[in-house]
Amino acid sequence: MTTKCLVTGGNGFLGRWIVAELIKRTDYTITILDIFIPSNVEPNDRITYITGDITDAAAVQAALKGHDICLHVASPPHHFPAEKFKRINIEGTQNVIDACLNEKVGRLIYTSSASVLQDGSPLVNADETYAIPKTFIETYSETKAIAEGMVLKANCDQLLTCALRPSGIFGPGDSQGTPGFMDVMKKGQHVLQIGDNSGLFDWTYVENVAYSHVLAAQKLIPGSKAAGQAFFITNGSPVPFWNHPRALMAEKKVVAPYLIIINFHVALVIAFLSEMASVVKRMLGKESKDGFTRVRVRYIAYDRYFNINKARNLLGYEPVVSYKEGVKRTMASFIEQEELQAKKNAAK
Amino acid sequence: MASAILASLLHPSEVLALVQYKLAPKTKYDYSNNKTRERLYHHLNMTSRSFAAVIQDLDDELKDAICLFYLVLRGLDTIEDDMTIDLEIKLPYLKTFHEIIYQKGWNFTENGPNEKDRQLLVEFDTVIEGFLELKPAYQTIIADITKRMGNGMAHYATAGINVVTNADYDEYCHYVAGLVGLGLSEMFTASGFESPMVAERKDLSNSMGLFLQKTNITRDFLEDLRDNRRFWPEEIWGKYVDEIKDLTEPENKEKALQCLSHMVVNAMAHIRDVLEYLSMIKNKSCFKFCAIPQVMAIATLNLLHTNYMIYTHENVKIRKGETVWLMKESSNVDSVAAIFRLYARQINNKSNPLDPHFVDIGVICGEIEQICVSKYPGSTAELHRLQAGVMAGTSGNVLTAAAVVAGAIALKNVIA
Repeated sequence: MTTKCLVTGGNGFLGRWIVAELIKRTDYTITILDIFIPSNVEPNDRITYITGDITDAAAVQAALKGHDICLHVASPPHHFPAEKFKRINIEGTQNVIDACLNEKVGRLIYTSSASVLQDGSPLVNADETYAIPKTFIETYSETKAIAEGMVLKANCDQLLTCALRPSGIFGPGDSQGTPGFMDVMKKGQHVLQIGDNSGLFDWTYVENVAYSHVLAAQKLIPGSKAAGQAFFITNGSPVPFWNHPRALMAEKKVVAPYLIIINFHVALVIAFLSEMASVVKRMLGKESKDGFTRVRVRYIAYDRYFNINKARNLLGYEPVVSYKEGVKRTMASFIEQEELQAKKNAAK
Repeated sequence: MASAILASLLHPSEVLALVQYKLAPKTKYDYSNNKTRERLYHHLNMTSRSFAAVIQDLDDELKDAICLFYLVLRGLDTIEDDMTIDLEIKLPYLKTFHEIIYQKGWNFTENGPNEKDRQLLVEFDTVIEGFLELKPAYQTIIADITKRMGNGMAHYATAGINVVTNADYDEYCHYVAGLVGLGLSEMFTASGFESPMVAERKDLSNSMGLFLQKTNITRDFLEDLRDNRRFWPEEIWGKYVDEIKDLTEPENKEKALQCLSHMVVNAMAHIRDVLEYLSMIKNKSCFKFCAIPQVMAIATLNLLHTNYMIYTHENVKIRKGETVWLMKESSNVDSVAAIFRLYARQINNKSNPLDPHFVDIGVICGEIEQICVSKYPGSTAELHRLQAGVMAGTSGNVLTAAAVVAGAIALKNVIA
């Protein structure tokens, strides 16, 4: 009998890559549970699609029936409002844990985030011995940390669990990071640099993150040291923060003609003023997005990189696509998409 | 001195280092009680600009041994280098030099009159005399390395130096520099100053030599081209031009710069080994001896990176002030690690994103940071201390400069 594996959020950016890796590297049959399933998908003998909301306990339990493994990947994008994070990340994860226990699903792998350590201070070669901070600077990280804690606590003989903490996922199909940097370029803001580019950042090519999920699914067997554990997952190649957008832009043959370097402390003051401005705007009843915040300034000027030896030792993880190759593949796909879009627009 | 200070004017800590260097009482080494030693150290000072000082600062136990190691290899090199000696005369000397050093009274007068170190071989009996007084353990190590290097030289003298692949490049550098690293490590261990591990990690010792040699080969491109020596591997330059000499053509400038950054990346790949090796060295004088040439190399690489001058000018060198400053700061592992981080960041920030090796350099830079942070946690504090006085061109430096000017004015008022 083949192993049955359910992927929540299997239609999202990371979810799709995980499904592709499972198809490539295992003989599991796969169920995709997602709030949105495109109408044009064709189920085949290995993939079944279920449309369902992770916050609907009954729907989650029904979907998980008869499965051996659950990869809980579903998570809202960063721009969602705070209460959505709580509903989806915390309540949704509780639904998944309950359903796994009720339906005797043996293994649960949770897609956590490296930001569970994000309390606004630098993270220098951080590893899993670092304690989860008491205070957080954003709801996303806080809810991910709470959900991760629930999943790891649920680890028992009947349900083996572990959590993966990827940092800075990018790759083809990425709807947040890469397009964000491209927008910055279009606005001509790529000449700005905050700080002296000494802070390192871990960017992780999506295929490596997906691969780590496959490894976790395979390694989580009775007696495994991975059970109940969290693992940082990166490319193992942290680079100076500003190198990344420059490397992406260079694939489009674009380079900033000159640089304006803003001192870190000056940037903090500007960010503070900008936050003040949006608070005032909101008090006046106007729409205002949090654009340039102190949190962001710290995020890009501080070190934020991790030690992945635990994943190497216990999961046998080693990145399969190098950072350099990841940049190339990401931009090749991005440029292709752009050209397709341009053709469509021209046809209209 | 005045011109050195002038050149370092934008680098206050170098000016301080230069002044300190100038005012410091000069250590005078006195060898007058021993005629042989006096001659040996005279030769050392005559034949080596860079090594004479660091060798003489070594602990007594190792000083003579390493001085003689240097002079023996220099003697071998002086025969190999001399193009006025016929190959069939030269080869037997190269192949048997490790035996010659045991022959009391041997010397060599067949060097051409223009060979700059010919006097060393004319008086080589003194070197042999000193060599035979060394502890047998040191003699064995020196003879072994001399044998291997002599055979390597004989091979290259016969077949020609034909550096095609990157593996050829590594092999050539192993014979001319890696072997020296191996020998030094064995001597450190034999002296009891360092653990057996130092001699055992031959891979790391080799990288110590390769990092220095590759930096020099990258720097000396033009000089070597003029003298008809080609050390850059075709596997690298062949990606950018059809003939190695085309790199100097102005219309190939962009390609030449890409080729240069490829050479820089190739050399930088050894830094992880260098940092690991240095972390094993416990004796203070051995540490300085090992570390100083390495920090000079990373400073030189920083100067070479993206610098088209290497194709137009011979003798591209770091400032005297920078050299003195580096020697002053290379006293412990944390500062050396901090120096590596400092230069790695500068190299990275200089890189052109359109260069095909932009990403590689960023990754190596990140790797250096990661190694230093985990192996030398004290390097972060050292880095901040060094940065306070060094980095030119950052906004932090403007503030530092303003503070210096304000301080100077305040001081002037106080004095007045």
